Amino acid sequence: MSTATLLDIAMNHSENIIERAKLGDKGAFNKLVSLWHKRIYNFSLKYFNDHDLAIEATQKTFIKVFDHLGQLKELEKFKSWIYVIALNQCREEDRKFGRLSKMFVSSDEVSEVKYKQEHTLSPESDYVKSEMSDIVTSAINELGEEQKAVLIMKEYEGLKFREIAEVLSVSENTVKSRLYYGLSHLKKILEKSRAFNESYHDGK
Amino acid sequence: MMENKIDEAKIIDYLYGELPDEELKAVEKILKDNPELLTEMSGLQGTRELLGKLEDKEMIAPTYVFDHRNNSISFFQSNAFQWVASIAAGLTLLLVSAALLNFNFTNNSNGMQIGFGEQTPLPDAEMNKENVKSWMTEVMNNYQSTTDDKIAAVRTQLTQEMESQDQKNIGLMTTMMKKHATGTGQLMQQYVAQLNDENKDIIQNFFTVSSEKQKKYVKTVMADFNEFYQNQRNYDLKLIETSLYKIQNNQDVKQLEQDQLLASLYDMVKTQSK
Repeated sequence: MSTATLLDIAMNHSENIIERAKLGDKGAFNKLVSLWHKRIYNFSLKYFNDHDLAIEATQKTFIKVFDHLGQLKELEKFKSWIYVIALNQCREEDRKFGRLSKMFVSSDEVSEVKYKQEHTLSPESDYVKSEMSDIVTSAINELGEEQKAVLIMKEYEGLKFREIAEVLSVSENTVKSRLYYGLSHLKKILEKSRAFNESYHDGK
Repeated sequence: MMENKIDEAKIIDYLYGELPDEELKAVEKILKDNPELLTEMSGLQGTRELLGKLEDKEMIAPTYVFDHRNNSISFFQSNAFQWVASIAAGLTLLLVSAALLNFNFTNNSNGMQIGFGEQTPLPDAEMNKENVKSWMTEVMNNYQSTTDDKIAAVRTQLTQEMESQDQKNIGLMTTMMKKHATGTGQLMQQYVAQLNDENKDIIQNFFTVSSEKQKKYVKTVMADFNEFYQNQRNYDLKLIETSLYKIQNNQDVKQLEQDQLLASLYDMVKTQSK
């Protein structure tokens, strides 16, 4: 059995830890953080395609979780609940970042700076990442916010349609519809990408 | 027969393997009959596979250090103390204000009195209804007699003033009437003289104008009569001429009749002789 599977099992059976954290057990809360940190960070990273913003959103998510854990009544809904907080934090950071970037530079320049940060300022990361991952990440970030959130939660966070519907406060059919259009749009974006076509066909 | 189309939700359920067996078979059958849909489904599946190539980044979870603040609240921070302190502060403020503003409170047989500053004595026992009534009557009587005197004085003064004013007015009127009468006589004389002159002029003008008009009229009438006379004469002459012409015609006719009679007699005689 792989480590990821064990982590998943631990995450899905963490009611006891949540209960103790809810009662103010700091150790239990830190265990909860260690269980969920990777998921929330990767969710935020795919949402922003920016390490710093993802770290910021992740930290704020866990601070919010600590502050409001006492208000969580149904422990089995912790998964949906934490993604609601994470998504809200991502949206808030996105708004702040959007405002800041509008104040200083145009959106094209921001994309360029982000691209350079991803590709020039972190050579180690660049080395680890495959070219295909970069293309896919960029393509995801070209989607609309609603489609992007649904796609990340389904494809990478493994949430059920019901859970995603709870997070977004919409119906399951709306979730499926958004996912369908998200995937269709993503397919078109990837097909248009010259770099993708070259890498994909070379890879084959 | 099942429709040859699948909605978005069903496509997604198929892609994520969440369709029950019966529906899965039905969808697979539709895909088999519909190459376009199959291509779309393959494209979406391919996109999903590409998404799978994006791996999670490893991240070491930080340890959150929390501020271990003492949750016990001291007596001075407790709600009860704060409530009592607030009430005490309010009362103290009221008492200090009352002392500064000389607050008074009295309660005796005459009644209760609350106020600031010096106390006003309450009315004594003489202050009853009868006394007040008699005081009021006395005051009203005094007031009435004083008022009557004042009115009489004012009336007398007014009468005197009016009489003197009447005298003045009569004098003024008499003077004015005299002046007016004198002026009016002169004016009347002037007016009559002026009227006489004007009348003379008018009569003279009338006769002058009238004689000229009469002359013109007579001339016109004479001319008209002459014309009428001439016309009438011509008419009479024509009438006489016509009558003469008629007489001539009658004579001719009679002559013709005589000739015819003679001719008839001649024929009769001639016939009888034969």
